Amino acid sequence: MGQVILDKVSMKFGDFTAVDNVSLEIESGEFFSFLGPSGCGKTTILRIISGFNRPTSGTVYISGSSMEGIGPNKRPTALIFQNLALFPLMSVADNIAFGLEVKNIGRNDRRKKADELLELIALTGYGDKNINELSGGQKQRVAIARALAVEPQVLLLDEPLSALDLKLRQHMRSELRDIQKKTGVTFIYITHDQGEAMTMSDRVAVMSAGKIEQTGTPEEIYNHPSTPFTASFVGENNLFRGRVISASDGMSVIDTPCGRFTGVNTDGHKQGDEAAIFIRPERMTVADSTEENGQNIFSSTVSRMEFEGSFVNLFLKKACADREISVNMMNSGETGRFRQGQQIRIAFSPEHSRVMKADGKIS
Amino acid sequence: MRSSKNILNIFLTGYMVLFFLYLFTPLMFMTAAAFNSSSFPTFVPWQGATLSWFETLFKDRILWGSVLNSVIIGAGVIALAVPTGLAGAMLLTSRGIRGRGFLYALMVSPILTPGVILGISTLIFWDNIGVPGGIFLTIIGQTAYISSFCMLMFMARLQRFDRTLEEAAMDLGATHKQVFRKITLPFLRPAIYSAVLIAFLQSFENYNTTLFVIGAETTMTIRIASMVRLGITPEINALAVLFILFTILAAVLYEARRRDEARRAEAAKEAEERESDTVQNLRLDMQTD
Amino acid sequence: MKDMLLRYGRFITAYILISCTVWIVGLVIVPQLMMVDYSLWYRDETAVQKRLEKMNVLEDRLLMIDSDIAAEKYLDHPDQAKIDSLDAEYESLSAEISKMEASETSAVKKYGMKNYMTLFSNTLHRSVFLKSIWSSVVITLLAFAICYPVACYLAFSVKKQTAALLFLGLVIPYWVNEILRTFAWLIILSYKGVLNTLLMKAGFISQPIDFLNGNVGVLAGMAYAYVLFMVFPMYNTLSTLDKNQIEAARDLGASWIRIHRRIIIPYAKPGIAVGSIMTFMLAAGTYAVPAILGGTSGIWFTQIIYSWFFDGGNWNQGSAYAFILLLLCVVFIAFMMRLFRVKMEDMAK
Ligand SMILES: Nc1ncnc2c1ncn2[C@@H]1O[C@H](COP(=O)(O)OP(=O)(O)OP(=O)(O)O)[C@@H](O)[C@H]1O
Ligand SMILES: [Mg+2]
Repeated sequence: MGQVILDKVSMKFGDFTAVDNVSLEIESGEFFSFLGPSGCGKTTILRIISGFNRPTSGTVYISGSSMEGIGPNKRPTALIFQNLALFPLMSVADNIAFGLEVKNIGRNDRRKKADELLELIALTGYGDKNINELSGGQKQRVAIARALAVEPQVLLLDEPLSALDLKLRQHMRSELRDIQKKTGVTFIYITHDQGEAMTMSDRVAVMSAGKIEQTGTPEEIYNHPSTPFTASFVGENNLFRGRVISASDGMSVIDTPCGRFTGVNTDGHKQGDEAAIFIRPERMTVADSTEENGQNIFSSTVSRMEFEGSFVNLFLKKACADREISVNMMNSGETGRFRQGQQIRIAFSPEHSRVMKADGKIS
Repeated sequence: MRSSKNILNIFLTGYMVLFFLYLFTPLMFMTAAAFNSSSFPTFVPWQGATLSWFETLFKDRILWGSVLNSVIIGAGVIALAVPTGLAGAMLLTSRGIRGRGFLYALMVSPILTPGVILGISTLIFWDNIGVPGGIFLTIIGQTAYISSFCMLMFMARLQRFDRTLEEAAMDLGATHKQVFRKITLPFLRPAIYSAVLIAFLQSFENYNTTLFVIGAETTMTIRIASMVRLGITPEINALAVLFILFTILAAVLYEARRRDEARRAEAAKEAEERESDTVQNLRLDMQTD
Repeated sequence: MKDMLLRYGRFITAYILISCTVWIVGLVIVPQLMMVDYSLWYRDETAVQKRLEKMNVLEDRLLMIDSDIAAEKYLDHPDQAKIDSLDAEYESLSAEISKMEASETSAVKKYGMKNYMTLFSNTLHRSVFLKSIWSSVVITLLAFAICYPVACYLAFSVKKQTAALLFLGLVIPYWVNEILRTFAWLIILSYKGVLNTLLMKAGFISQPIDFLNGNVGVLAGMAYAYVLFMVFPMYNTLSTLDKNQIEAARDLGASWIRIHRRIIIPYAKPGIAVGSIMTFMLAAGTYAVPAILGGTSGIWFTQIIYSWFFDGGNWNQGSAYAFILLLLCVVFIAFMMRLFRVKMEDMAK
């Protein structure tokens, strides 16, 4: 049984539903991320787990017991706030030991624990400094140490890296992962940055408009997206809209303005449904020969090219698709042969293409 | 264009000089008269310098008794109005309060109500329960409006408060009371000091409300007013001199503190700049790692 | 409410609610309602008279019974039945009298607008009331005229440092007691005071002028006492005005008057509104300044109220006048808020 269980949890603010019937299980010791665009309800879920918001309906279980009616100060969770919320009037050590102070643990024990944690976050000797004397990354680590000091079973982190600059962010990613490994605490991590979610997590839940779209390992999410939202939100994806003309054997054939394509039927749609087929830019190749080999083939015109060093992006006129189509290929030394306005043929394989029902708008 | 602006500035500066003269000349006359041996408080004609009026002042038992009353009332008002004002501010800065605008208007209305009205209504109310005018009633009457002043000060501070600090503390296991004692109150400390100071000054100053509820007792302000109306002697001037000296002293102290704070803010800013250097260094460290 | 419970917990929330309720209901609303109640009833003098007469009749009868009983007892063969019946009558009468005594106030309490009518029928009171209103308006306008350049100067013409120092200079006279500030003007304006002495020395007048018997002294003293309540709010709002706006307008060739009319004054509205309300309220509600500087003819409405309470002993009448003063201030506040289109929330200093 999972350590944190959300059972049909919903949260309404007036008429607005911020979290919509979310059910999910998070295992002990897992690094679990919620990934979603701004305003999709990530913070609200975290606040429900930590007890600051009471869900309108549904129940949260932690380590097997229902959290209903249990306040944030009595839950075995610790939350790292989006803005860190370090206490500005206390020293670094006092911040870290605050959770012990309120449990009336003696000064010496507190100091010892603070020193231990300072060592863990590589800030030994910083205990007597003022919070304002720390840099952004140091504050970040102090916030983590403060949360770990109460020895929580679950650590909740709300976009903890968003205030840092790029370099520091990347540095902190590995540091966070290390801390999680060392302590073995379950991490529930919130981010709208897919790079973070993908590199750090054991599992990721993709969220949109209060709902969970898909849960899985980073590979599953990236390679086998199961909803149009996941497909287009995580990584780059090309898409062709059309109508399903046959659906069998787990594969579907879809008629699009660019041609008739075959792909994996991801959601069990039926013949005649409005659908879209998704294919990653790096899964497309330029087809030299005229033979098809069961591949999906279409032709288009090069509208522009981006040279990025190790690889090259080709952009094709969107004549037959909703959006511009991009093709991403390794720089093999002969990409120079493409010209703007050149007519080319593109091939992609059905097993990498994913067909799913899409009657609405796809973000 | 330029010259017209200059003329304007000269005009404005002249105006300011006149304005300050207007403010301070009466106070200077009052001060000068305290040292004139004339038994009427004036400095023309000058009848020789004397400190005897200060002596009279220090020997004035009734006056010092009334000062003591004022201090007692001030302490009582602080004890009631500061916590009440804090409660009001906490109420109004909470989310999801229905009719906040109306409540706010209600809670600042005592400031906008003439003091005599507060005095009269307090007098009538307590007279009905059989409590006559006196020190207690004065404390009650003044608290009604001084609480509003305190509330405004606390609100200004609370609006700058980062609520996630409270949540963080609670998340770490603190009870509501611990959060209040260890996080909210320390943040409010400067506002508490100024609220105490303002509450005391307002109470000490008050005349209009006190007049109706003081009963047979007397406060310093009431005493001065009756001295002024029935037979003025330069003793009052001597008192005024003490007042002015005290005020100037307080003003100087305040200014010194303000400058000190400004300097500290400057230092903090420099530290921040240094911090961004540190981040720079950290980044270099990482790159060399 | 739910938010407060989550944030502060049961104990502190209960404290907040109780404390605010006691304050607003117990110290402000109920006493003022009681004042209004007082203003609406009066002692019905004819009823008082009637009641007194009736009580006199009863008491006379009581004396008679008393002597009758005594006479009966004096007889050799007193008629016990007669004594008993007289005794019974005596008992019931004295009970009635003590009941009437106990209900003394309520019996003659009569609700009506009589106390308010007094203000219209008494020409002296009416004229003092009107004079208090217009004088307060004049003082408010005067204070605005005096303070506007000062606030502008502090906000725009000097550096922040200098402004802070000058500001302190303003605070000093403000901290000196209101009574003492007024007293300073008494020294200047009194019959043997500074101004008269100087004017006579200079030969402008041969007889001292009695400044203190009339409105001149009151107006001068009040303007002085309350001028600063106009400066502070105005400076507070003006100091947050972005000076670039003024520069931009000047670059566009806006005239000096136009800049004030189109940019500065509209921006300063909340400050002007607060300053005006405070000044008007203080002026209309002052007791000390006219009492000290007004002599016998510079009497103020508040002084009439005071004398209803402590000289006339008619609290009902005084309450009616006090309520009229309160209404006046409410009307003035509403008027200023409409005129300047500001809300209560904008006015917090
Ligand atoms: N207390 C509240 N009252 C009303 N609406 C709220 C409240 N808290 C959050 N919301 C709404 O719920 C939605 C989800 O908010 P939430 O903070 O969970 O988003 P988020 O996914 O964390 O976004 P971000 O990435 O910007 O932090 C938002 O539209 C927000 O406006
Ligand atoms: Mg968020």
